[in-house]
Amino acid sequence: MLDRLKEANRTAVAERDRRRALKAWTRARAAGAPAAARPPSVLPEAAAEMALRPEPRLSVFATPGGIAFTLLLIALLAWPFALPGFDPSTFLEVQKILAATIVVIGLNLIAGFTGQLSLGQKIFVLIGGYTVGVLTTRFDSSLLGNHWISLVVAIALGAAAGAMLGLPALRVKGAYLSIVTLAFVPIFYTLFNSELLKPVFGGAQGIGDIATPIGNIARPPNRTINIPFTGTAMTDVDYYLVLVLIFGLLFFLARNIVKSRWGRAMTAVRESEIAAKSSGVRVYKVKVAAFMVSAAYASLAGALLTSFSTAQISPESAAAVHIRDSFVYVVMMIIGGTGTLAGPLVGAALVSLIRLLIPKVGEILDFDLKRWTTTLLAILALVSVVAAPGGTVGIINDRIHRRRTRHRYRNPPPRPPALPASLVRPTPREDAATGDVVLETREMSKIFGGLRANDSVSIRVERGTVHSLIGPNGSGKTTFINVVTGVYAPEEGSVYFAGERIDGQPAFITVERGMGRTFQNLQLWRRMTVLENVMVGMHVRVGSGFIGNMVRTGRSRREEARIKARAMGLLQFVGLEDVADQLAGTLPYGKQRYLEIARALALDPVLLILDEPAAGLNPAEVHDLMDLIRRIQRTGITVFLIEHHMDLVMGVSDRISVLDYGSKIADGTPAEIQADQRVVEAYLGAEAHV
Amino acid sequence: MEFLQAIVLGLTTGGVYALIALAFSIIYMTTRVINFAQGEVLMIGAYLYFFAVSSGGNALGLPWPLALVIALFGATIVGLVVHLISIAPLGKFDPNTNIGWILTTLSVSLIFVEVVRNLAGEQAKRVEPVISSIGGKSTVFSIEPKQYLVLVVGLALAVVLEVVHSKTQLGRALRATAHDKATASLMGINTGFMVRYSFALAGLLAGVGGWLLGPIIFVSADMGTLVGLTAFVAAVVGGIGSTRGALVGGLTIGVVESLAKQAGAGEWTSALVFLTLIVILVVKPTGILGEALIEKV
Repeated sequence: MLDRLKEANRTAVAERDRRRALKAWTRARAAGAPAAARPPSVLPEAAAEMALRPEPRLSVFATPGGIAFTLLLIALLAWPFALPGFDPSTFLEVQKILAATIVVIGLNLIAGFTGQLSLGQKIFVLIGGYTVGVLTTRFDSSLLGNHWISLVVAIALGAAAGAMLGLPALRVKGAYLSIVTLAFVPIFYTLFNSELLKPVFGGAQGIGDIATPIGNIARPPNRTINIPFTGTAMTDVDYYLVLVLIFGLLFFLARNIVKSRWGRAMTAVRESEIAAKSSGVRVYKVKVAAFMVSAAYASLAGALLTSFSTAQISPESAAAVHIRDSFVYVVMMIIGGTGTLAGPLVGAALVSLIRLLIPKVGEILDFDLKRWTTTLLAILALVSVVAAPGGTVGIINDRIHRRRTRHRYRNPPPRPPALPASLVRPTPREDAATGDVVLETREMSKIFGGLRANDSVSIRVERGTVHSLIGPNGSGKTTFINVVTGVYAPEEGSVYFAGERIDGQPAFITVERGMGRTFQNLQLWRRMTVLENVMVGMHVRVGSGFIGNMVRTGRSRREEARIKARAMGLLQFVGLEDVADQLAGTLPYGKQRYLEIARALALDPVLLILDEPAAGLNPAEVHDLMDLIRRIQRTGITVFLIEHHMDLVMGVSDRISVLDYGSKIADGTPAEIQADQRVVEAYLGAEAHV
Repeated sequence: MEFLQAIVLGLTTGGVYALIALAFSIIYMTTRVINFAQGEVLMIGAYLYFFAVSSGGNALGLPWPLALVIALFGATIVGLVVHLISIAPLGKFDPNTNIGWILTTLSVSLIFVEVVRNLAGEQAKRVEPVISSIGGKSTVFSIEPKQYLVLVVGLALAVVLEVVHSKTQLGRALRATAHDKATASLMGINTGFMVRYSFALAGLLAGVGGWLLGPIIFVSADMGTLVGLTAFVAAVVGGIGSTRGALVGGLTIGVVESLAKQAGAGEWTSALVFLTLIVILVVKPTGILGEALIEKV
């Protein structure tokens, strides 16, 4: 407690001193005194220490969302004992809703956050159900037949099945995961229905007498579920409490993923795969991991559902196609809010409620409404996708966001504390620093059909310089960058980066070795905040794993704090710290360009490639950009610039290479290039007449 | 002999897959989306033909050519309706980062299946084939004439479309739209019209498919789902977005399916077909005749 008070006091003092210093600085500047480009930072050590402190492990429970969720859990736990409305059928319905919610939380990870829609979650629900079915009935004398062990096996098998479907389907960009999962639903029904495998899965009759809690089904169960390490059989209420706790844990783990390095990588993949690749995110790996987790969630839910509800499982009907089963989960996700944390909870509850109400409404109207349930849900999904793509939670979030923006506009918050230079200053990484030549192509050619887009191009970029590549439109500049960054493999010649040959290597390898880039056509993750964009940029500079992120290990929390502080520092470097919490897509064009630069700086690049950064900027902005490029160069980062804006190129470059029709026609200092007759003819001459 | 027969039978069934794969490809060309309701348009076409041609009950009992015209007209309209309620309301969107179109087309497909099931009943309907003998024989090579009709009509339609799309201004406009929508619209092509045209044409093809398939697998609310999925596999195997690829993929999948059946795969036949999709995705994701996409940055 005392420590906390001291801490608060120290923060307040630091803040007061900083404000005073700021005022003095503002006055001095207004009076025309030569002032620094940025306000001074007071007590940078304190600011740095604060920024780098990791979030306490359980601090999430002190946020509004955390409190709401804790209350929900308490209500769910207390309900069978204290609250009204407890009867066996409602009891069963609530448990079914919880199981469905678990499936939807998993589905939301792959579909909502990673942008790959699975239409076959029912497959994994069945796999989980059959796992407990087969293990607890056929192996009930061995350890494998223990209910709790079978749950663990169900999780593993679900993840394995997810890998089996995801590995081929997620290789290719597009809707292939939807197609493959859709196609495999009938295959799994065939598998479980099969006469051949009847000894295992029981054919059309399925498996009965699965271990189940006492009091669950009318007669006493033949196989009970024991409390671990005791011989005491569980009652249905005991089991319900466990179910609620598992549900709480799974939600918490999903929340941790979403708010972590991996979760941001997932969203980055959804928003722009090409930009994710250029920040070193291994897109395929992220997609497969997310899908495996979603499959494991569904499988565990299926195992629980089978155990508490009917104690038996069968391929419900012989009909060939069961899209409807998986579709319900998709509808729950959409109605609740695709890509939001609370969405699955809200959606599963709402849709379950609607499904229960439909027959009741039918009774009142004296009309068989029940057979129209699927139709009504499909119409609801259709309308929701078109009218409210964010679902219920999305609508609420938008409202809150709008109110907050309005509030902020009226009462602007104090400037964020100025951070120390160690966080603000871009730094080229040390480990790749060998030799004086950062990038070199040797007689490199890239051929498209019959066109030599790059024809035997040899360019050497020396460490610490600003090296520009110019040339008329269509001269092969962008092709050159794409070869260098690993988007294309060259047909002839070789590419060396920091002394190592890199041509033909995938893009993330070049990124991991310290090559950052921006895009001519902006490739920001538009529905992520400015700060998050830069944080993903640091993806390759930190290494916490998926599981570590999931359980919030000390390492992953320390790393998170460091990423956040560094990202904030880099935003300060390019001058975007005021808009850190806005969505990237809402920034004006010029700021989006700066954000791309900050994101590329986040990977501590040895080489920064800027692809036409001045396009669309006004003269004042170009002037600022020139200043920014010089400041980047002073940190020791080598800059490779592709640009049409001649004032900028001539103003900042140490060396310039000129491409024309795919070949290099000149190479030299700005003065040499301006005097070069061939360049003037090919390029500057044409410009001069304009 | 049996092997050869299985191949011929596969080619004839492949005719329908080729038609529907063609429908998938044409829509994909103009919009880059996959119409998950394509199989259901086929199903509705089959039902329309059934109600127009059968007698008794509230059916119309028309002569088959007239019934066919009604079915095709209806299926074309349904194709346009799919676009109207599942794609048009989404406005301008990037199919790669926005999965809304999967949800809307899938919802529409479910709505079609459920509405038809609730209105027309669970009972599968029997439709008489328009030809039952060739030259007085009821089977040739142990295969019924209605099967040959599938192959002949499928091939003929594919050839006609190929000619129309390579020789006429409409075809050039379609290909320009497929290649680069923005530039096509700058050249004065009404790309909105081309999109609607592709959905209408896909509906028409599905209508023909329903007419051909009705006498073979009976008419039911579920009939389109598996055919649609299989035809989608065919489109990917051939190379989605390529009209020739659709033909090649359709016939290939037809033969694979028929050979699997002949080899005794039984209930596992469709599993084998979908495994073909997995193999293609691993080995050559662009399909047999598809072009490699050069990613523009």
